[in-house]
Amino acid sequence: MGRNRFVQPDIVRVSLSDGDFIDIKKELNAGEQRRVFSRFVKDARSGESWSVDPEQVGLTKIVEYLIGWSFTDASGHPVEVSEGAIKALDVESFKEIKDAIDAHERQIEEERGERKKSQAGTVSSEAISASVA
Amino acid sequence: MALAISGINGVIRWGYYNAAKIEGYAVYRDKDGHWTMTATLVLSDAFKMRQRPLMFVAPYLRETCSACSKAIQVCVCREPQKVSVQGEWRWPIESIEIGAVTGHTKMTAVLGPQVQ
Repeated sequence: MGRNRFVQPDIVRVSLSDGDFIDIKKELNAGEQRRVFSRFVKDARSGESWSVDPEQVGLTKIVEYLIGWSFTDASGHPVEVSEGAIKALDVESFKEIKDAIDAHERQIEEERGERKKSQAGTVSSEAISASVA
Repeated sequence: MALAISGINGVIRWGYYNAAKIEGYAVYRDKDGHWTMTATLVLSDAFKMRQRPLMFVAPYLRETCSACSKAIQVCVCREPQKVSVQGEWRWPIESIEIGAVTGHTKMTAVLGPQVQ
């Protein structure tokens, strides 16, 4: 039997400064990854350079990855994660979240690379039916 | 079997994904402590509904008094300090049965013990 090719909804907690944390998806699935891309590219034509929406750069990835956080409002009440709440963050916090997600993504990518390397020697394609020749 | 709670909107989750939205749910508890839930499926993702584990989530909005921490209905403070507390009740789904009844998709689920 082959490996499970479907992304499991696992959550990773990442520590931030000042004792805060964010909960993010361990891995985006294909649909989520495509949404990150399609939301920040304004115009893409084959063989030409892409035009991106600067307002969406960084934001679309955070929106797809972020599940929860420890942030509270001015009166100490927990704030639910939403695109509106993400946009309302101060610039420093936004950057801290973006950097944390980028670092997590790089780590997952490295792990995936290592896994592929270790599997490289075992890849084989076998005939699924006998040849008539 | 006694009706424990009923509500209008709930969700079935697979991890952080919504596998289905449900309406008109009723949660029953029998004398042995076993939980059962019936509802109408409104929107569902066939792939996610086939995954395990699934969790039934019923959101609630409770109004309490911040001075005495009691529910606003039973608070006896002279000047109640009303605060709204949002939360959710959650039960793991042990098994699920889905069937169409006169145009609606009805579901019945056996639930595990409620989780905090």
